[in-house]
Amino acid sequence: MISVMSEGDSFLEVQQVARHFGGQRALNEVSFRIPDDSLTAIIGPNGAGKTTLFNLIAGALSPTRGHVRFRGRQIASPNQACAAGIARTFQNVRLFGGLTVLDNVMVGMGGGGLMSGLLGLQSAREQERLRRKKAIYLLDNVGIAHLASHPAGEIPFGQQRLVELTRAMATEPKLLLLDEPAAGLNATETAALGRIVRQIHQQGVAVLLVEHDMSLVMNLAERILVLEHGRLIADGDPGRIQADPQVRAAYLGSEET
Amino acid sequence: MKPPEPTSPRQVYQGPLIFLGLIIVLPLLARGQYAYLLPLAQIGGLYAILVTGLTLLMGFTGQVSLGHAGFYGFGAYVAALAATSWGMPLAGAVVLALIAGALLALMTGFMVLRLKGNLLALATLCLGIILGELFNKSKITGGAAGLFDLPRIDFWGWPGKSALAKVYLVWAVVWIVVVLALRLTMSPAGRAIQAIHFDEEAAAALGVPVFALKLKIFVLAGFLAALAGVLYAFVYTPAYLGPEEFSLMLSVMLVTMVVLGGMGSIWGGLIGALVTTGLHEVITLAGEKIGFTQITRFEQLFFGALLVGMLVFCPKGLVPSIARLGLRRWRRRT
Repeated sequence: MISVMSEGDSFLEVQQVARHFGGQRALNEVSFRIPDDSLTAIIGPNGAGKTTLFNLIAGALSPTRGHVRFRGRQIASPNQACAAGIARTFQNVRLFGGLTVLDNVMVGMGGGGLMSGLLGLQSAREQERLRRKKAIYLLDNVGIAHLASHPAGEIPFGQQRLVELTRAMATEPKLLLLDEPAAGLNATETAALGRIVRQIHQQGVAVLLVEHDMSLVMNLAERILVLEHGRLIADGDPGRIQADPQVRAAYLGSEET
Repeated sequence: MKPPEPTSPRQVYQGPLIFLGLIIVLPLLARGQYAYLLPLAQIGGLYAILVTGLTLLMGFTGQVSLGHAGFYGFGAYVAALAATSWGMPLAGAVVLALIAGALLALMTGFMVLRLKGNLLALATLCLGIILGELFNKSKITGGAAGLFDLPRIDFWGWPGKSALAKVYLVWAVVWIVVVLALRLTMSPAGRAIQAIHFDEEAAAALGVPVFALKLKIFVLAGFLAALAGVLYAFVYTPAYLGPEEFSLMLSVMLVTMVVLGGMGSIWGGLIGALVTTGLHEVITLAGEKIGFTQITRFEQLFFGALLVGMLVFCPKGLVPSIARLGLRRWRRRT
């Protein structure tokens, strides 16, 4: 199912991107490319600019300098990012708490203008039935279909993370951005999450992951980018990153032994 | 694994059918000494239309409007002016007023809906004040004296001067509006507006066109307000239109109705509208008895206190809270 991109490795291209907040430089001259079949992790200490980078790729922020291109197009808004095939999760789970788990997932499937909603057209009802079926299938894939009719805000945190992931997948993305998906999960949940992410990747979706759980990162990622103070200080496979003295000094050495 | 069933057709049609039955039967009970309730039922119906639009906007989409009475008045004045000063036929005046209401909402919504929370509330409040002043002071609207000799909506002599027939006409419109609003809330668009209410940024990331959808709901609410205004001008009033109805006080009352109804429920909003209309009548009588020389002041005091009290003690709305209490008791019994 892996799609072959005509643009080659310019699937996601971040070129000399800088982002300033007032006088503070959150990102500075960051450049990298990601091919369409990669599972890449971004690591770095707190405040390194990881979430800012995510927000730039997802169209929630625009760069002060440089540009982000996805499949050859510049992304200017979250709507554009979604239409182009980028989906994301958030650092702090951001579900629509009062809606059911099923409705949360179905928001990601779009559909239905105001008029067809008002008139309740037959064709619209049929499409809605298909969406529901697909949403249940996606929830079943991650083992939480039994929670479909529960209010999303009332289920355990670990499962909320899975709802958010499923909701992102409902948009049928080509690139999935996961912002610290294992934060707040226990070891069993983290292991299950790792399997799910790998499964998603095997289905042909490129994954870009920000994560603090190093064992998960080393286990999952084919390639790791290391940010420090808004700069990209290393880029390579897990083995190379672990051996990199600059990375050890900046990040691994200080937090992991 | 058992997937949850979609809402069954019986559940979907049950509410509107019961509601239709009530609309047909209840007005028949208002006879003899209770006949004074019929005009009250008419204005209650107009508020129900206004509140349904406002519930979609505030309760579902999460966008506060404190100037809704302005849109209501705008619809009424455009209709009245078109039919009198501009010499349009009645049907043309109705259509023009509805389009004008939607257009005003489109233009103002485009400007104010980029604001959030308190700023949006303030902007819509100002809009309501500006429109209120326009109705009150402008020469075109007849100022405080208002407009006279308005035509009446009339289908071959119906509803004529019968208060009962007017109740049926207004509530037939309410029924259609409520059924359409219910459909909307159960559709994908309904899901999307609720997503906007919970988290705009997350909704946008999922492809929900946040601003466009907020604007559409604002336009729909403006259209419904204009519809209520048209009915006010051509059905409810005795062929006269003055500015006193479209006050800031009414905007506050409308918000109170939505909050009372629990913000996120079309049925709740409807009940909120009826309860508040009834309360308003009681308050006016009580105010006179207590000896308040200015009834408006007493109303402001009462509804202001009610709104604050609701938000502090019962933020989820009175109707859902009572429904939950009833459900709990019923469960305990069975």
